Amino acid sequence: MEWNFAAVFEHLGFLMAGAVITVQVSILSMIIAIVLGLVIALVRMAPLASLRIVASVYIDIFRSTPLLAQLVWIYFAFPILTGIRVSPFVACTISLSLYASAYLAEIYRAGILSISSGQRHAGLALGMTPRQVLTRVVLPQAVTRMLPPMGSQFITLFKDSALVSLVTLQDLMWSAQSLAAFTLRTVEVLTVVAIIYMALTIPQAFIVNHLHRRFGVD
Amino acid sequence: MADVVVRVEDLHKSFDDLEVLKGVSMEVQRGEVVVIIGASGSGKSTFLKCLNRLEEPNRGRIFLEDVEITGQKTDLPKVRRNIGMIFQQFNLFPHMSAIQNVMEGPRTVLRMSGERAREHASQLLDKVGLSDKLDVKPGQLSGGQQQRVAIARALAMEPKVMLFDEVTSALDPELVGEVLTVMKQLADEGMTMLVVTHEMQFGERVADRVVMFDEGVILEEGPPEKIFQRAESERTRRFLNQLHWEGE
Ligand SMILES: Nc1ncnc2c1ncn2[C@@H]1O[C@H](COP(=O)(O)OP(=O)(O)OP(=O)(O)O)[C@@H](O)[C@H]1O
Ligand SMILES: [Mg+2]
Repeated sequence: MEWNFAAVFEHLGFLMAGAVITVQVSILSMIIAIVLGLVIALVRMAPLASLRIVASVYIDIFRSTPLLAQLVWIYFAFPILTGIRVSPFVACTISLSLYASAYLAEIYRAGILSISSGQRHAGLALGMTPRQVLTRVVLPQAVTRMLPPMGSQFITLFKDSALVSLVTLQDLMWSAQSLAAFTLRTVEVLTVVAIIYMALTIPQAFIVNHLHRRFGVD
Repeated sequence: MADVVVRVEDLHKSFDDLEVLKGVSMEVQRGEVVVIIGASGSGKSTFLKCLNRLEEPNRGRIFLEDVEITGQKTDLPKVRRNIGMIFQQFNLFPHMSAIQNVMEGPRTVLRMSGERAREHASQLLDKVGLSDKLDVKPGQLSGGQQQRVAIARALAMEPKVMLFDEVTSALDPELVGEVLTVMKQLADEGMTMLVVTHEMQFGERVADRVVMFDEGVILEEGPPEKIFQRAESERTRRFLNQLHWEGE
């Protein structure tokens, strides 16, 4: 076989439009997951046992089933059951957010638990409420420990987002598959697409490495 | 008329099957310095933590200036601001500078203005001899300096009583003196203090009363001269002897 990239470069704009969708859905999902994950982590550590169980079931479900199954379920099964139809973009954003939030919840929890009980006691002994201890004492220290694994989680989310092409969201991977079918240059198209993914991921990895060096605890 | 700051009645505390406090009663007068001694595991730390309810007692009552603080409806944060606590491991907030540590209670708990809190905090750090370390993070301070910041942090809340739990045990020997000096100064100024310590010289010089804990009860108590020189109980004498030998 002969390599021929001409057809790919001719449609580079088409691939770039897909890349924009990939970046959008990843960043939006991560932002939602950052907030949702914190809520779940706090519920996971709530005083009430029944609440803790709910949160840990949530975390287990989303971490122990394939993302693709969750995606298909939210895009196809959920509308049938509820009658609520959503666009592929919304369905994918919801799906990726829920999935990442389960992992982030565990990252938060590990970070919060890594702060010694002595720190909590010092805050309480001053007369702080448990909430003040969390926001003034525990979280500021825990956040720096959470940043490196959160960065890694974002890279994973970014690459996992390629699955959204399977429910017809026109992201970078979907564009790649369309272009491959159209030009019959599958290998060339996927080579270029892999390079685009790399070009987008390597700066992220660079930032995460920096976070590890700056804040990492071994 | 006696001016009682802390009154404890028949305090019991268990961890699962382990009964750590088996009925402790005590009264502490305003301005009094009570030194608590006793073997490891006798329940000294647990007793102090029950006083500000970092540990929940199972039975018994505690009063702070005649107000019961063991009831279900007690507003714990409000009670705790009146009880200063200093820990063996300092427990300074590592993400804050020395002065921010001292300002944190007044700012967050008492909602004091930043300006007033800063001025008060720098006076307190001056008092503990750290006026040149205001903006230094705990990680850059020696153990003795950290412990003095911790004392200033507790003082910033203007507590009615202060609890010291082996606050010099984690320090290199040459740093113990600077912390004990600050504590002596507080005692001289009339602060009400409960001090768990193995520093018997501090006990001899500063304590108004020495209390010997043994297996969750108060074995005996009295003025330091009596406990240190003429203890009634054989166990107390043995405990003090051991300390003496360890100290040499
Ligand atoms: N949170 C806890 N859970 C279970 N057991 C505990 C807990 N805290 C303390 N204990 C146990 O209670 C007993 C008394 O502990 P405490 O710390 O009050 O002793 P102490 O007199 O302060 O000893 P030390 O001189 O070693 O500090 C010990 O046997 C200890 O293991
Ligand atoms: Mg102890």
